[in-house]
Amino acid sequence: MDDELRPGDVDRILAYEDLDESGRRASDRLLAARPDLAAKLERLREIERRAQAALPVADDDGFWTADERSGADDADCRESARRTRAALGIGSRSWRDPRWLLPAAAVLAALVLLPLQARRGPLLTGLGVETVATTRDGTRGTATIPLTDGRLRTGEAVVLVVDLEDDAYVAVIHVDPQGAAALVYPPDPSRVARLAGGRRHHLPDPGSAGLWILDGTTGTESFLVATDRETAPVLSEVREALAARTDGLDRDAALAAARSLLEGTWDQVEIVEFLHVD
Amino acid sequence: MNAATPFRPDIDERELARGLAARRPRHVAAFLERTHRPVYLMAGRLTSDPETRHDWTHDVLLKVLDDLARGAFVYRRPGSFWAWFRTRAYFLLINQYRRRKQQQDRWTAGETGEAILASLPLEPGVDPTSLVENVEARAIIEDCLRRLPNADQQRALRLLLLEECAYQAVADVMDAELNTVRSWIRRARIAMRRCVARAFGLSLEDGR
Repeated sequence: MDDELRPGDVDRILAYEDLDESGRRASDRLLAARPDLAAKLERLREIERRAQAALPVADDDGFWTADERSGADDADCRESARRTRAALGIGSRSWRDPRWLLPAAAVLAALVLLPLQARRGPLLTGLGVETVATTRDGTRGTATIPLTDGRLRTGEAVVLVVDLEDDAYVAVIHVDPQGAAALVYPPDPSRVARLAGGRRHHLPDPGSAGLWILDGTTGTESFLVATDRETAPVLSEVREALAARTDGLDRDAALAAARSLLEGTWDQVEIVEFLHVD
Repeated sequence: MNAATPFRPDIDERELARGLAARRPRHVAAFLERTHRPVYLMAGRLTSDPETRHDWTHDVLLKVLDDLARGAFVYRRPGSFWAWFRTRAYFLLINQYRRRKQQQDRWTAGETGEAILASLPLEPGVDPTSLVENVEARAIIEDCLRRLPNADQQRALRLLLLEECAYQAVADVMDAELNTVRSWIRRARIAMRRCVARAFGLSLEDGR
């Protein structure tokens, strides 16, 4: 019998279980002539059988209940859970899912507010976007108005509307449609911003000279608002770390890096987004 | 505790599995609330280092979520999700432990298996060498499956090989024609077995 391998012979042997009757007969002849190949096929099957073998798990209680044999303590366990939740963005919009990037005006108009992390209950209880009203001759006033269609146009001013439950330090990171991330509030990172609780704030002050005016890059604009009741991280370090971690990243990666940076140190981090159009 | 209702029934098991596959935050949050602690405590039996415990727990939970997103779990009956999770979490933890022992060059299948058997609530009388070899075989098979470039082929073979689905069940789950599924599985099996052969140093074309 000719036991030389022809093109396709090995593939047919590897797919033995998937062959029809005639294919198996042909493969059986080849395997009979090539015991080395038959032994290798059997070895592969043995590996698969081992992989299929069920783990000998003893009982449910042994898994689901706490056990004194574990050296883990509760504080470590809670901290580990917090880190895993933070890494998965629990409570956030599914920002890893590219579908949310679709510029569906209806979705973006909703300006979803969702908690990314809340270690001690809600501190930031409301977050939205408004713009500064303009007169008929184009002069900007100081009043803010809701977005008419969930979008802002190039040249319009962004004002975040922030409701705080308690007094809190506040910082804001902006991630633009191209992934450029910047600490935009407080405007001077050498001075922390502690805002009063129990009231609504507009960031930045719509009457100030430091308005956030949208430039020509259109797409989804994201603002991460971080709040903390007790401590304010050194903002100059936040700014430097932000630059180091987001430089050269695309939008999704930059947003994730910025979020990760804030989550490690602030009580609560929220995100608000809208569509920037021409 | 009953396997079918290991926790508060605030989210139905089938709905939970669907929500996790879709990565819905509410479901992921409920899943983590229920599973993190038991997995962390199991990891604590295998390592005393809190950072390693966290890393292993984190990896296990993320891999389970990835499995679900890739359609690796098929709901069959009440209790099947938690039974699948428990076995899956055990495998992933044991595999982490095995890999660390290998990296530390203090690894033999027998000794490692003995340590696992002494630490985790596994059935008595299990051959420790066989346990570790099975875990190793599973790890290589899963690694080779992950390397398959076609997602449909990968999922079809995974369901057939590791989730014990018949061809028709795979077709039903994947909402595909049976002949299409057969073709996917055939192609996937060839590629996977070539990958496994390489991992075990089996030369298929030239050696005798």
